[in-house]
Amino acid sequence: MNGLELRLLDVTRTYQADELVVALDRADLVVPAGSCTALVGPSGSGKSTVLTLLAGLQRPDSGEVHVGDFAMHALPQRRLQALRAETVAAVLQVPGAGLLPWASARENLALVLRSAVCTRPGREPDELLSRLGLSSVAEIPVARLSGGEQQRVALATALVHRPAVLLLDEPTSQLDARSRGAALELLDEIRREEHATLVIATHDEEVAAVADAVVRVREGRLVA
Amino acid sequence: MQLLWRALRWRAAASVATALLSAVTVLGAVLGPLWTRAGSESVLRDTLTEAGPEQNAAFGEVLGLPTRSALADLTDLMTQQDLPFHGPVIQGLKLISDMRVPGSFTPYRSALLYRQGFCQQVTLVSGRCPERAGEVLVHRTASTRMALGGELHIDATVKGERGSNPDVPLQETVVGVYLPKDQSSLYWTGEGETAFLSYGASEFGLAPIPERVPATLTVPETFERAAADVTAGDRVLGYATATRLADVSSVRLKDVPVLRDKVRAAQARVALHTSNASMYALRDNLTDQFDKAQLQGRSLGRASTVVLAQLVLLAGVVLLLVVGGSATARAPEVAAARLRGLRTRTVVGLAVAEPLVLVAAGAPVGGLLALVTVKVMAAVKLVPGTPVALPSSALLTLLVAAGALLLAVLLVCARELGKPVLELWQRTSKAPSRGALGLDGLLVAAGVGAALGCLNGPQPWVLLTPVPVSLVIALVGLRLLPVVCVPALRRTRGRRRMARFLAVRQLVRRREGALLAGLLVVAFGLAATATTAWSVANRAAVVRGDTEVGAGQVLYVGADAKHPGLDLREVVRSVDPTGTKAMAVLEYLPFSGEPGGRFLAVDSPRLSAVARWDESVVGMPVSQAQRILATPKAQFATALVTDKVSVDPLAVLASNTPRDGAVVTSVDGFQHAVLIGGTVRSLPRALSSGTIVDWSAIAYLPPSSLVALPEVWMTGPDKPLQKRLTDRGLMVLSTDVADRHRELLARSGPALAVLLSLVAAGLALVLAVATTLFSVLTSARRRGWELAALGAMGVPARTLRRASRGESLLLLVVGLSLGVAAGATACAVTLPHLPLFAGEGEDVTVPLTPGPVAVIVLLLVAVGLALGTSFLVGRVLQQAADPSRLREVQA
Repeated sequence: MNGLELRLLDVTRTYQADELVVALDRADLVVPAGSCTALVGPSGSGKSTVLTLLAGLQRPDSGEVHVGDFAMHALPQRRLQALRAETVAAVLQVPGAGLLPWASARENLALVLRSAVCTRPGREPDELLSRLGLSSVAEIPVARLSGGEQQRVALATALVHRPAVLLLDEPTSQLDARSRGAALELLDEIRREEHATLVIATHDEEVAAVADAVVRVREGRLVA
Repeated sequence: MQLLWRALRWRAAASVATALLSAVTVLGAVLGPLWTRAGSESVLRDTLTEAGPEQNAAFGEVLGLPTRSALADLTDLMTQQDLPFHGPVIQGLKLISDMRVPGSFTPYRSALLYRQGFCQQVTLVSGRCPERAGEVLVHRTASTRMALGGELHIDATVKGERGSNPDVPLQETVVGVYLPKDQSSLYWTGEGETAFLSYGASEFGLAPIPERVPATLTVPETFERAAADVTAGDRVLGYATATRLADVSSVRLKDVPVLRDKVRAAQARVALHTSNASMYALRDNLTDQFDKAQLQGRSLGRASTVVLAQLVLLAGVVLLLVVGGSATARAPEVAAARLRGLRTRTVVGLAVAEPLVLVAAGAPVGGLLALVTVKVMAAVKLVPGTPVALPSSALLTLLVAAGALLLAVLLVCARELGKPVLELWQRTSKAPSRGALGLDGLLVAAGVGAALGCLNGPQPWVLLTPVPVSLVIALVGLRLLPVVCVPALRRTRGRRRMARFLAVRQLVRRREGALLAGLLVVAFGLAATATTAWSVANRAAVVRGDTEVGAGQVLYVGADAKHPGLDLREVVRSVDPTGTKAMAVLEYLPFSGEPGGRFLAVDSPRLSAVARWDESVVGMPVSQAQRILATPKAQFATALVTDKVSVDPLAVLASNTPRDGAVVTSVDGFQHAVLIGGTVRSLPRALSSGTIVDWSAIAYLPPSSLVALPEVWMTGPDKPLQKRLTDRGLMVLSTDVADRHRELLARSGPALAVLLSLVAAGLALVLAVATTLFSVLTSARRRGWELAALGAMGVPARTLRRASRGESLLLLVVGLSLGVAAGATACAVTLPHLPLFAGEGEDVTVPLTPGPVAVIVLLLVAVGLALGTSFLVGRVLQQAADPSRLREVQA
């Protein structure tokens, strides 16, 4: 499946904490289909907000968010959920997010394949787990795994149904050099062979180096 | 399904707690109808058994000329179909007549009586049974009094119904003298009083005026002959009777409505036969007994509902808190499912399946537990053999309770489904509300208002009072807790007492800690109140039972016809010369509704040894009472009267009446001029309304138109002593045993309600402790991580263990202390309003403080639970605090 073009048009997103926090301020971004874009910037600059907007996990205060022909800012929840099942996969910064803690890595993957509203054939879970160095812990409940292991399981869960768009928030932050290498290799393969569109939020220069483009995020603004 | 099972096991503590709470909530809901049903069955059986055959039998009566045709009509009307629990008919005919020995002017009033099969029920002292019209058997007493000898003719006159109707002369031939084989046997039911009992006192030389003698027995033909002599239109005092005894042992609650209808229909049908000449009636007091039992059953039902509503409310709130907590814990899983775009039914399943399955599984378990609990309670407390059935109301309650829980759980869990995905991952705690203090103030005011409302509301609402009282004290206490703890926190921190510091800090800072403490306060408050109420109710049953009977056992006696003119006091003294086992008593019964109460003449030197005299209940030491009674002045008896007796000082009319004398009125309608020697709160046998004098006072009393009831009070059942009494010529007509009264009172409606409240409080206590454990277990992962981190920082394991145990111990001590305060307050305001006995009887003052055993048991249970829970908590947390946990992501 070919990747989709991603677009943020004049997007503003604010949060109400003790005072108003502007996460994105009239931001514009275009990610070509099948490309890999790295979002870099200090913590709290708005990188994760970009990813969650693209995943349809939240809506902008103003502006438009498009994934291919889909207007994410306007789609109803049910359609967004279907879109996440078929087209868009996200790995969030929170370790363990997106996983059922009491199920094993293999069960998490199987559940996604079995339950997702997806018509394409998925990846072979065991092969995926093997590629990410998780074969030995595949049967252990993910809550019992370390942060790095959970991060890899989350990545595997996102990849298992072959999404056209992959949104990764600090995907290697808790990985050792070897695991990081394996993960990056896998991502590169996916981009090359399946032409998926990748957006990676990272502080890691090595990860940013594999991207086609790097976008800097600073105080809610995006600078190419 | 496999994944669901995995999830349930993963959250084992929450799963067990949810199922358990569901079971307890349903148990509480179902216990009410089950216990009410079983208790009502028991009360019904007690009521019917205590009423005795006189009150349970069906009596058909034709008032007027007693003829065999009237008797046949009556018998036909009282069919087995209408009276299914009643035995075969015993037919009878009766005329009130005066008898004179020819040549004598002294009349002896007697009932001329025919009773089907009477010859088999009497012992012939002489002669034979009557066979023809006019032949009669006279009682031995009558024979002695009238100085009859051999077969002879006597003149009798059948009394007219009113003074205006002329008496009808009747010739009778005495063919024999009889004694009843057993005048208290079932055969004489309905006639025993007329035939024998009213004449008991005359045998002790206390003859009423005019003199009466026991029944004269004859055959139906005698009545036919008398009828032939009655002028048409004249009415005589005569009856045709048909008695059918009831077998009440097989009557169950389910039979009551049908039986009522049948009896009512039969009564209407019998009454239809009434004509100018005779009045037909069917008297069946069984329905009155049903009414009495039903009244108690209803009161038990209302009280059970109120008591268990507290438990259901408590368990329901805790269940919803637990389910709410586990729903929040599952929120990231719901978020994960939505992030991955899983099917809606999978997402919904992850959100609600677990609690729904657990609640659904817990509900039947709760129903089953309720059944087992009631079976155990019934075996311990109710009439042996009381059936414990599952009434439709219990099944309906189970379904409604389970349905309500499922709906509530669904609503609580469904909240998570509506939240945005990102919010489901956020675990920000809400900032404390600035208006919390004001809200607490409002809640305290509402609690006080609710408590006052309960106290002044309908009777069963009183049982609700402990809840608002406990809530108010919990609120106030927990608000003050940080004020007390924060200085302690500073001190422990300053002195580097790490364990205490951690324990106090966890208690003060954790929101769950305050919630748990509140729950513990309410549970301990309920337990303290229920234990006190139970202890007081038990003591009340003992006091009331003893006071109602007066002694361990009371024999109602008559004199054997072979020994007329006995002196009861002398007989008792001769068989018990030491004066430690028995005492002669004459009791003058009051008319119903009279304020004078019972009038007792006792052999006062034996009062202290024989009577159940509890100084704290009576209000006077027995030795003082004996001194007062033993000192009559002038021609007046010295009496002790209860303070509720209407003593009229204005009635002290006679010039020779002492200044401190009074006339105690309304004892059998005549007046006793007595010297009041003292006033007490209550008296054995007389309860709070009566007068007691020494036996010697009988000589000072004016003659009564009504007879007294001769009694022998004994310290307890004593067969050899009873035999010695009968050997001396006393006939035991019936007995009354204090232990039996205690037993009956202990399973009357109010006592059963109090027992239920004790069970409910016990369950609340278990609930509170289980919730404490649950709270610790569910936070064990996070707390274990924290403790492991502290351990890694160098805090000794012993300190961490002490901190964990100290926290739960502190929590339980706070709950226990405030709970006991709540219980004491609730008792003080509730117990004076709590009905301890069924019905509107005379009161007996019962001390409203718990017995020492109850207090000790309560404290031991509470301390045991506190220490056990504390130990368990420490162990669980210690196990969870494995340093290897630090490699995991912090929960």
